[in-house]
Amino acid sequence: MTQAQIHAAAHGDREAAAHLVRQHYADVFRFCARRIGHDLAADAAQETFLTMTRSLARFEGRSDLRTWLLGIAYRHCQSLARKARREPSPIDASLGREPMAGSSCPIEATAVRDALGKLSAEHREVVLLHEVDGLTYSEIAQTLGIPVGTVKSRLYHALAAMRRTLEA
Amino acid sequence: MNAREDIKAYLDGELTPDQAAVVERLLASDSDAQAEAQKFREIGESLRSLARGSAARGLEETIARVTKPKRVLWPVAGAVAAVALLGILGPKLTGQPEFFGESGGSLSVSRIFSKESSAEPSMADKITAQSVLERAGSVETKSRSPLPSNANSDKERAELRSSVTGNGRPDEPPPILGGQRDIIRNADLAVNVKDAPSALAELLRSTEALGGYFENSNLVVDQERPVATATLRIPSERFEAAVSMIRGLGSILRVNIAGQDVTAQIVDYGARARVLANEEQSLISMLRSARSTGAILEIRQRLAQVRAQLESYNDQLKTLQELSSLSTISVELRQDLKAGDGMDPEDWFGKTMAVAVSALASVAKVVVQGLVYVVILSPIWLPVALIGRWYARRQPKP
Repeated sequence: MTQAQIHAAAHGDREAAAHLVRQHYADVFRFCARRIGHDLAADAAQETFLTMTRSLARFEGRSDLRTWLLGIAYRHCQSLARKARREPSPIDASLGREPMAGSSCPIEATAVRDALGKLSAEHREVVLLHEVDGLTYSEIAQTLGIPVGTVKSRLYHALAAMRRTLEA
Repeated sequence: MNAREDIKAYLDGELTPDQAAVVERLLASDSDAQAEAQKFREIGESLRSLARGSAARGLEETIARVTKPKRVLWPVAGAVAAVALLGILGPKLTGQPEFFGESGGSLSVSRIFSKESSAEPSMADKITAQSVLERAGSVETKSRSPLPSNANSDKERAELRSSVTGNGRPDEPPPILGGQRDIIRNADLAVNVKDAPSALAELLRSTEALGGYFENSNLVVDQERPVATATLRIPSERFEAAVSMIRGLGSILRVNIAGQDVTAQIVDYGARARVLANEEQSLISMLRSARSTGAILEIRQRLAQVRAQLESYNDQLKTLQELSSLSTISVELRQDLKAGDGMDPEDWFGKTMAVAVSALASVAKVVVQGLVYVVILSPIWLPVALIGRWYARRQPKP
C-alpha cells in the first residue's frame, strides 16, 4: 500500500478504501477477537474500518497504517465491551489451550495461562500486544497512548512476575 | 531503569547499541540475569505458540459498508437552519414586518397567506394573541398608518391618499408605500374582575378618555355571577392603549386579536373612484355639447351607470376607512368567584386542555410556516446545500 493509495482512499476513492480493508481486515479482526471474542469481533472490525474512512485524511503516516488501525480497533473493543456489559477475557480469546501445530511450547500451556491471568490488566495488555499481536514497543505506546519507556518497564515487570509465578 | 530491567528490551531488540552493550556485559557476568533472560525467552515463545489464529469473518460486509456512498446531511441541515434563521432575522434586518414576531405578526402572516384583495379576513389573519401578550407583556401590534384615522378628517385622508396614489395612470394599481397601512383591528377580551359593575363603569370612563365610545353594553347575572359585556369603538391609534387598559382591569382569561390589512383595497377603490369621477366629468361635458335626443339619452344612461358605480366605490371606501380608523373591541368582564362559590371543580381541566390545544395549534402553525419558508426559499438554500455536500465529499470529516 503506497501513500498514493492511502491518499486516494482518504479522498473518497472507494476502490482504494476497499483495498485497504482487504489488506488489513484479518489482522484487525484477530486483534479484536483476542480482546472481545469472535461474536463481537466482526462488529468491532467493521467500526474500525468505518472510522478509518472518516479519519484517513488525518493519518499523517508517522506510524504504520496497521498500527494506526489497531489503535482504533483497541478503542472500539473497549467501547463494545462496555456496551455489552461484560469484561473482555483476553486470555481465553487470545490464547488457546494447546500450542499451534508446528510450534513448540517450552512451558506447559496451563501454567503460562495461569501466570498471565495473575498479571494486572495493564501488564497483561502490554504482554499480549507484544508477544501475541507482535507490536513493537513504539507501536504499543501509540496504541495505548503511553510513553515507550512505560511500555518497556511494564513489559519487564510483567515478564518478571510471570517468571516468579512459574517458578513458585 | 537499570541494566537488569533492560533484559527484556534487549531480547526484543529494542535497545540502542550502547544500552545493548551494557546488558550484554551484565549477562556475561551475572548467572541470575542469564537465567532470567532464558526464562523470558521461554515465556515469549510459549505465548506465541499458544496464540489463537482465527478465520476472519465479516470482510465483505465491511467492504460494502466502507464503499457505500456517504450521506452527508449536515450541509442540508445547515442550509435549512440558515433559511430558518433568515426567515426570523431577515425581517428585523430589512425592516420588513416580522414573520414570527408579535409586532405586526398577524398582518405579515396575512400578507403571506391571504390575498390582499380578500374582503374577509382569512384564518391566517386571525391570531391568538394570548401568547403574543405573554411574550410582549402588552399588545404591541402598532398601527403604522400615517393617515389621520379620525372619521372627521376624511378630506385630509383623501388628500394624503391622493399624494400616495396619484400617478396619473388610474388603470395601473398605485404603489403601496412600505409602512403605510390601513388596518381593521378587532379584539375580543375576557377579563376576570373583582366587581363587574364597577369594572364596566371604569371601562366606560376609560373608553371616553381614549376618544372612543360604547357601541353597546350589557350586564347579566350568570349562575349567581355577574358578567358584563361591552363593545367598544376606539380610535385605531389608541388600540394598544385600550387593550392595555382592559388588561389592567383584572386577570386576563381570553385575548383574541385580529387584524386585516385593507390598504390595497382602499388604494384600489380610491383609484377606481377617481377614474369614474373623471369619466363622469367627461360625460357631463359631452352631455352639454350633445344635440341629438338619442345621444343625450345614451349619455345620460352611461352617466347613471358611472354614478352608480362611483357611489358604490365611495361607499366601500368610506366603510373601509371608518373600519380602519375605529377599532372594535369586545370585552367580557366576569366577576371573580369567592372560594367555593359554585366553581366547577373540573374547570381547571377544561382550561388546561384549552391552553394545551391552543399551544399545540400554535406550534403546528409555526412548523407549517417554517416549512413554507424552506420550500419557497429552496432556490437559495438548495445550491448552498449541494455545494456543501460537494465540499464535504472532497474533504472527509475526520
